[in-house]
Amino acid sequence: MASVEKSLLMLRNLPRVALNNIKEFPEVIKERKERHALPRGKDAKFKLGADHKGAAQRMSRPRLGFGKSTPGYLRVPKEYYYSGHHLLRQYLPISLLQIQRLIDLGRLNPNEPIDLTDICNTKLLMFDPNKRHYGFQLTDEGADVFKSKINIEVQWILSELTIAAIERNGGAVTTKYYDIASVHAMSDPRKFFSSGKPIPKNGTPPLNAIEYYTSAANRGYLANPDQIRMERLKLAQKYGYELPDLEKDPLKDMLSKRKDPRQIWHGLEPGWLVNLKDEVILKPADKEWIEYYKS
Amino acid sequence: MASTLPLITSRNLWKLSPLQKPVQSWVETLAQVEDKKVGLVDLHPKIFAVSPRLDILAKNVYWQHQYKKIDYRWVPTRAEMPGRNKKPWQQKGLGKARHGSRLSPQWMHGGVAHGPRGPKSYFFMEGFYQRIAGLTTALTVKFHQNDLHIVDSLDIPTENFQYMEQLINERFWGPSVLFVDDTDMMPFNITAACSKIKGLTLMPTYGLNVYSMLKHNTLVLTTKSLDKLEENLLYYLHHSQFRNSPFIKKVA
Amino acid sequence: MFLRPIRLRQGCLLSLKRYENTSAKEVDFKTDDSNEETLSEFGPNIPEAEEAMERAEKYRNYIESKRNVSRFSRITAHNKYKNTFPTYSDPEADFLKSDNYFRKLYAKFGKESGIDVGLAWPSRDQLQQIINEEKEYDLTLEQKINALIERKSEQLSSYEKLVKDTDDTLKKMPATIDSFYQRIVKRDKLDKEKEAKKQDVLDQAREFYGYEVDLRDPRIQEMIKKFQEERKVIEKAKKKEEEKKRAQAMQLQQKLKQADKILSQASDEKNN
Repeated sequence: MASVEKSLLMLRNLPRVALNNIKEFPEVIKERKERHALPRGKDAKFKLGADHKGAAQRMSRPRLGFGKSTPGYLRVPKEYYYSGHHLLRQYLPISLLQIQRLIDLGRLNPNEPIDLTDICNTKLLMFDPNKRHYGFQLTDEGADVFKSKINIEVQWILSELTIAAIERNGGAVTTKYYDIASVHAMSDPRKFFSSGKPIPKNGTPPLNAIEYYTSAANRGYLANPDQIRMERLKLAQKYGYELPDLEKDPLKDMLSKRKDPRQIWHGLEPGWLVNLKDEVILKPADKEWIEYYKS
Repeated sequence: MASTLPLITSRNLWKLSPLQKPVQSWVETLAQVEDKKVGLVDLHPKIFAVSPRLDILAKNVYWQHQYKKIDYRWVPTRAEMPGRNKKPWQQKGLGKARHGSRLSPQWMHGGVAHGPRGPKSYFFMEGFYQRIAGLTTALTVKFHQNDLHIVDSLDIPTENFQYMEQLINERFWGPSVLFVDDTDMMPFNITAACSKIKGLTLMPTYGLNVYSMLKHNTLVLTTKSLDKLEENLLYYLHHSQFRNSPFIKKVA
Repeated sequence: MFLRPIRLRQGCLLSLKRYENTSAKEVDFKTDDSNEETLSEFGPNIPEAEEAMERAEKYRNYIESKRNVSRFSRITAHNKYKNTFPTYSDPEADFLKSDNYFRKLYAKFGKESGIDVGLAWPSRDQLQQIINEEKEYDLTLEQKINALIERKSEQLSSYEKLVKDTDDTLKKMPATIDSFYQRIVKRDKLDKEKEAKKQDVLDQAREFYGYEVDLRDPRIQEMIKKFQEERKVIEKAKKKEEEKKRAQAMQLQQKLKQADKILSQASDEKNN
């Protein structure tokens, strides 16, 4: 008999559970008492660590950093190698092992293209666009164990081992750049649709990222597809596996789904307004707006 | 009369795995004083057959009491006392103790040194999933101690309070009963009856809380409110969209 | 489980008195219609009936007010909880008239809200502003790729230039090495000459005084100056003599040249 059933059978014969019958664990009560209790002993005089007499007791100590010969703001050196660190883009790392685990536990669907929104919706990674998180980067931990066929879209890949591990199983990888406004929309689509704004237009990557997204070795979304085929062959020869033929794959349509450079979600174009209450999509009809959103 | 009453037998339970068996309960009516059953329904085990963690109930009761609490006590220090801060007598020569002001804490009617300072709030939020666990354990405890009754609706033939009195005595429902329905506006008759008897309260489903469930002896749910309850609780338990919202303890 | 003693309100004692002496089984639970029938027997002008009617109405209103069980103290909070359309209005609140607020209301309530959908998109002026800003502050994809190409070609060309320059200098290496060593030799020579001059002056001073002397002393510098001036005079005389000799040599050369010319001319004439 399971313990839960046993305990519920016991409940039938015990007196009624009421406000005078229940109690918390003694550790919790003790911790709470200690937290809310007045200080005792040395701390009962509310001295806050200050000595008797002197500047500390009379609250006339200088403020933080001062008191010594050189004040703190002059002592601390400035290193120029971290200049502009508060403006740099950040990509949260997610490993192949984590992705395999999410697929096995049913949190990610391998029969649909995997996107930034899908990984954010699992709510297992603290993704915050306000901290300049521009997306995810794939790391190669778990490349030996990876065995699922997926169409995944990530923002940065450093090592070619990850690409090889995914393509060996017959999958597809791309790296795509998203503007900070579109990242805000993608990370929480429910919140974005409740704000009532039309879907934004994705921007082009900045100058220091153009090289990355136009190179086929990184499977950039602006690269030449012919070059990408060459790179796939190269990787297969380098890492020693046979390239599976994607044209004979039954999931060919799903694996070959790619987004327009200005597009954020599959099936939705920029400029459209999605209304969840009426379950309706509204599109602009005037020329100027259509031109702007299609440019 | 029993043969003309409608029978309620089936209910759809959401997200039930084959290893979990549902629990069952009678459905009754308030249309007559006698205890007549109108049906038998299934209840979801994740809400009505949960491990009876009484310490979670105690936690929720403590939270309900504390989070609304504001302590308005405020006592002035020697600097905030009305009056002038004059030296009462000269420092030397009089043979008296030396003092600087009549408002220091060692004097009578002087300021307080370390007293309560201003409105203090004891607001905090228990974890989201701790609060849900509190509701589910309270419901299981009520169910397994025969204090939960499911009713088809809260419609009563009269507004006479003695009808309610007799009904409750007949069915041994205890001095305090909590009636829960899905609407805000309760029918006229039952409000008239419950306003005269102490111990009966009417509540919408969104007002259900652990303290009320433990304070009242019996819980009476309508089928509508049961459906709503199950729907909401199972949604919160199975969806991950509330994980990183505020007032949730972050679990790795 | 029996009910505890009941505390009743004063207004309801009348209804109690009717049922005081009866037991549960004898009571007939009729619906509200039966009560109305009994009351309508009395005419409206009789004061007892009027009082009873008033009391009944008050009681009814009192219970109607109790029917709302939500315990919300404010209408706005109730509306917000139930997601009904908001009814508050504040003439001084700018947010209630802004585009963002209407967009959120439309997203929440849909067509029923009666809000114009076109507010969701930017207006004509705003669109133009956005387009102008993009042109001014952003580069197009083509421009960015061109910048990339330019950067790469610059790198290539500077690299090639570097390679070329090194090749050229490597070819000239032996010559530079030789010139380097020659310069060293020259410098050493000059240094030695200077030292020799210094030594002469020191020797002269030593001879004059009879002991070694430091050039930096002020007593001695006058003597040293005199020696130097004497030497300079000697050097100048030498130079003048050399110049004279050179001038004479030049004149001789010119004369020789002229003579050669004449001779050559004469020989030419002879030949011709």
